[in-house]
Amino acid sequence: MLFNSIDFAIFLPIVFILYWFVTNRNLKVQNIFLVLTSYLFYGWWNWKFLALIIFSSGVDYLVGLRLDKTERATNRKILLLISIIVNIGFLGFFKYFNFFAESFASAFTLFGRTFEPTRLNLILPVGISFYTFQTLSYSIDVYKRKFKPTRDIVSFFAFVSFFPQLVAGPIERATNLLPQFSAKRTFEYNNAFDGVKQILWGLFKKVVIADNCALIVNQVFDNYTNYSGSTLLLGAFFFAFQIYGDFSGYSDIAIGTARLFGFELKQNFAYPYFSRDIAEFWRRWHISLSTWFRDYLYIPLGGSRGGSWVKTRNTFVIFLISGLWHGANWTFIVWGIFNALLFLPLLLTKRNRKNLDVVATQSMFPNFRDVISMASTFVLTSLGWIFFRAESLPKAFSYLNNIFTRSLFSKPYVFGIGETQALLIIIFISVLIITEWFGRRKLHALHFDKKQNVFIQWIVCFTIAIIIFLFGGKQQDFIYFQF
Amino acid sequence: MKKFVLHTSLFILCVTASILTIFSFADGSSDEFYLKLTTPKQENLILGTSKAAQGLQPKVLENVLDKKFYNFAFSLLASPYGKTYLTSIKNKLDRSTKGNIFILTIDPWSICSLTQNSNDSSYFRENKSFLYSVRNVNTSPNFYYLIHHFQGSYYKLIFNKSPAFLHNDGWLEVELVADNKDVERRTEFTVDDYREKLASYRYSDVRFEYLKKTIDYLNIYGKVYLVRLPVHPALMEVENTLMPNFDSVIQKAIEISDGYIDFSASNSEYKYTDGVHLNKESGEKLSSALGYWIKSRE
Repeated sequence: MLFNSIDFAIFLPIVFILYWFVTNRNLKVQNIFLVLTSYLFYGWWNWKFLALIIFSSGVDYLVGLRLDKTERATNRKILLLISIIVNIGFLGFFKYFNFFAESFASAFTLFGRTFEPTRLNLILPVGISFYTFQTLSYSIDVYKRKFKPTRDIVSFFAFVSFFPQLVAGPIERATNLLPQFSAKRTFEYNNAFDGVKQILWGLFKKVVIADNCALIVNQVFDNYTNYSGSTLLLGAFFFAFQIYGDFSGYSDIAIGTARLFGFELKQNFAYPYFSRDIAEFWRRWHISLSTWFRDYLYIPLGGSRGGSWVKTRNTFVIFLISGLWHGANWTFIVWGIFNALLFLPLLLTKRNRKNLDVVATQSMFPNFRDVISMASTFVLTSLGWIFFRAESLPKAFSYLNNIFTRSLFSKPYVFGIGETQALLIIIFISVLIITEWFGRRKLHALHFDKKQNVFIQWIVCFTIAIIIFLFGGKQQDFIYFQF
Repeated sequence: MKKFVLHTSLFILCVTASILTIFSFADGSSDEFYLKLTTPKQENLILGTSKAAQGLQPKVLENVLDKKFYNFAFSLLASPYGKTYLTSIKNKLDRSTKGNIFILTIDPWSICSLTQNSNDSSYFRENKSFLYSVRNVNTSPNFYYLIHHFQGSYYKLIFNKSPAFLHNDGWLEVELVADNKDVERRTEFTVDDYREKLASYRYSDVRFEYLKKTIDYLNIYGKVYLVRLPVHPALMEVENTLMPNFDSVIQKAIEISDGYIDFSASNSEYKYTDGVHLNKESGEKLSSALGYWIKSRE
């Protein structure tokens, strides 16, 4: 079920009413209800793949229990390995089988031999990368004794399948989310209302920004050989807003929805386009994934404690795997390498933690230096997004090559979709930037001060809802669903 | 909790009311099809693709034949002859009356398919069109169409500067710059486009069977006339390449109809907006000629 669908608009209020008015007297019943509604939410797409989630949840639940009882290091390692093999096995099979088979076959051609690789006609289960990482983190935390495993099977299944964040994150940790299933949830007006505002803001980002930007982006990327360098650069900028609106919009809707049910999820995007360098960008973009890689891969590999070689190796490993996590295509791997190359100089010169606070903390507007830093970071990340968006590596390089020509200094052309439409998109991107700038210290851009009049807040919500309805672009799937 | 439910209910109510108000702005300027799916059931129908939608003017026919006509033609993508279009026609037709007149425009494209196997109806292009899923074609406002099939953003329901206007009788009036150079440019573009289509379009027995089924069905309620509309001579060449023996291909359909008139012999007597579609004046002229031809056979 898509968040931006009529199905979800009907599903959410019904689940909300049943959750708070019918099942609220018994925590267990409420959790069972959450599991069932989450499975309904997922099964709406393809019920057959529910078996994967159930199996994966079952394995990790049992592994957790066994880990709690087992003291022998070898046995504990075996149990962890079972969890890793099952989870990564499913992910690898569904997501990477064809990619590795084809890449292996291509590598053989280098030795003058050719063979036709076996390709499987597989459907990628929606959200598999997200819930796999979530449930895997549970096993690792239990193995490392950072988290006491739960015996409550319903809570655990609810934790793995919680519908607001099941298919596209944020990737939650058991330490944050699982205890919330064991505690009685109480309804708070302000929390729920804030959830509504966050949902609306997320929908604005997805439906108005991302879906409209997609019109220009698709046109430019599909016909990139016909456009000037300046138009191609603009196309990359629009894609930067598309993917931000798409993914951070999804996260906002997910977090807002969870709040309606009394759950607090972690912030997943912290205004990344106001970052002053690439290190800050990666602390603010898809935070739940970046911190997952940091905690379960980067730090175990030695992090940035070793010499330059270790730091360089670990950085490349992290970005490479992060790229591969996004998709089984060389474009994502090169995208990862590109970001590693941007990040590494900061790490090696120990400037990667220079910008830890929010930009312009003490003032309303940024200073000139901040503006230049933010703009250059945005341009660099946008160039990186070209690899992310392009269908193949040759196309990505060709796109980049076509940017850096004399035509880069010509007037860009984005009016193929109609002047009014293009103008509207530019206006709404400006609204996004301004609103997020003034909300950059908050959890989400529409998080009002408690003193603010409630009636005015509802009026703002109403205005945003009408803007979403009037100016929403043609419905597009969430980009991150494919991951 | 009660306060929240009350506030959100009020909010949802206000948003819903606003959406309904915005939907009420939908009219003939909203898009090229919407209005046709909102009018009541009709008696005398003009059927076919966009050539008929733009070229045949019900008011002109009404003046000549003294019958109210309704233009229920859509586009090459949505309404080639097939199960989808026949189902829609059945839904639109007022079956309580007999002695009606039905004008079916035909050309090679409307009995061709884009599929590898031209008779595999499960992949027919109209299966993805609004006509396939919109079952109720006589309701106003047609929420189903507006929600699922309206193209673009809804602000266009209020502020629309489209050169096309759909009249209440189903005629699609298109006001394009009539400057000769513009017409030439558009014609050249369209002809090239149709030349490219040649490679993928194939004659379909299934479509032709559905043309005959449509005629058979409409025969119950009145007289059925088949019409081949004129096109620009350059496009005629393309159509002849696609189906050089068109008249003999449709012979069996002609036999079960009440008459067939081919205007393609007088292609150069008419003017077009883009080589395919008749301009307003030529549409009026042709509708009148067609009306008198039908009158002569009544």
